[in-house]
Amino acid sequence: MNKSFFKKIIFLSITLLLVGAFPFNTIAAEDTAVCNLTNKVAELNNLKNNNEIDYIEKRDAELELGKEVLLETINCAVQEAIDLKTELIKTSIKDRGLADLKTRLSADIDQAINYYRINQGGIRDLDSLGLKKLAQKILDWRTSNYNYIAGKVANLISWTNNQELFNVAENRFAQITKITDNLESSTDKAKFTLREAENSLSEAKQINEQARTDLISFNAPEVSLDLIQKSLEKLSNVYNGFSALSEELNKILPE
Amino acid sequence: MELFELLKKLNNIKPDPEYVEKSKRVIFSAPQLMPESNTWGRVMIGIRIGAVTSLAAIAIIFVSGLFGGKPSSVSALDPVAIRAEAQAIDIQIELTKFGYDNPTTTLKMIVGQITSGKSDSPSKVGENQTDESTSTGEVSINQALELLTEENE
Repeated sequence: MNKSFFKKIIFLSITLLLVGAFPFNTIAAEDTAVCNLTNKVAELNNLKNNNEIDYIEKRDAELELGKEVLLETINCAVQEAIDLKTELIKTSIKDRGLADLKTRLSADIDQAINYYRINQGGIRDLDSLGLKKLAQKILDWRTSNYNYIAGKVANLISWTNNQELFNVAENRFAQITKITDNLESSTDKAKFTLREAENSLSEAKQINEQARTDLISFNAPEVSLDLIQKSLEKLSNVYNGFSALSEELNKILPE
Repeated sequence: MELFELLKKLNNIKPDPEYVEKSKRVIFSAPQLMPESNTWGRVMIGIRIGAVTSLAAIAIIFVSGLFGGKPSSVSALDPVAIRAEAQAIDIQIELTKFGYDNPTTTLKMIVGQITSGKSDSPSKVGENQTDESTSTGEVSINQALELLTEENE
């Protein structure tokens, strides 16, 4: 191996390092971007409350500061959307229907980011009324669109994470059932409690499935959220039964 | 008789002491081809030890299952484990109760709960409900936008 070969290797390594590092640095910069709305808003409030400045001067200063606040607010909204997408991407989803939903929501977040960026474009040229109207437009858009996307994402992540709780509950139910069935001295009370726990588990799973179906639909996130909550409450009832069974059977079992 | 005498003489034949010494040295310096001297041999020994240990462990578990106290499956009735699992569900319920006044906050709480493994009490969680906090810190995006809609009247 000659000298030029080593030179090529070193050059290639450095090139790969630079090429590889570039997008990561970009992502890192986005991820760590800190929104600083508090200071700017405080500054605007102080200016608004300052009556010692000339009216025209104050109006112009308020307009300029208002533009800065709106620009920064949109930056923060973009960051918020990036954070949302990051959490969505991190969630591992095996279910095909929900995986499609994940893809759809990811695209929705991208569109939201585009929406913010487009509206950020002309802020410097706005007058007072234009600034107010744009702020109102973005506020309305967030209420009607972004909250829907974020709600869907939150539900999807929540539902996905809940499945582990369901698996654990099912395993425990199977184990307790085995013990109860094999124990000749199982009391009627224990058997009754087990049946109740079984019914609650069955209902919890059924509602959990309804929540899954609703997630895929275009329904408002509140509907899925309600189902998710109900399925968890039923699952909690199952554990009330497990606790009672644990107490009952531990009395019977030999030390 | 002649043969008998000859056999007696043969019995008295001894190797050359120098040759004996040399042969010993050759034999002792020869490499010992034990199984562990190569990688495959070590792997085989490892497998054998592993298999023996596993069988012993299985036997112990089997025997303790037969003659021990409570069977191992009874751990399914461990009240501490049951309580821990029930609490995990309760925490998850509390998180979903934030509603969707600000789903991003709810999402952050859900994700934070899972990634950090923290078990925020409901009251602690509820404190953040009124503060529409987002990734922006103290002043939320919506609060800033609301301020701007009022500002230029």
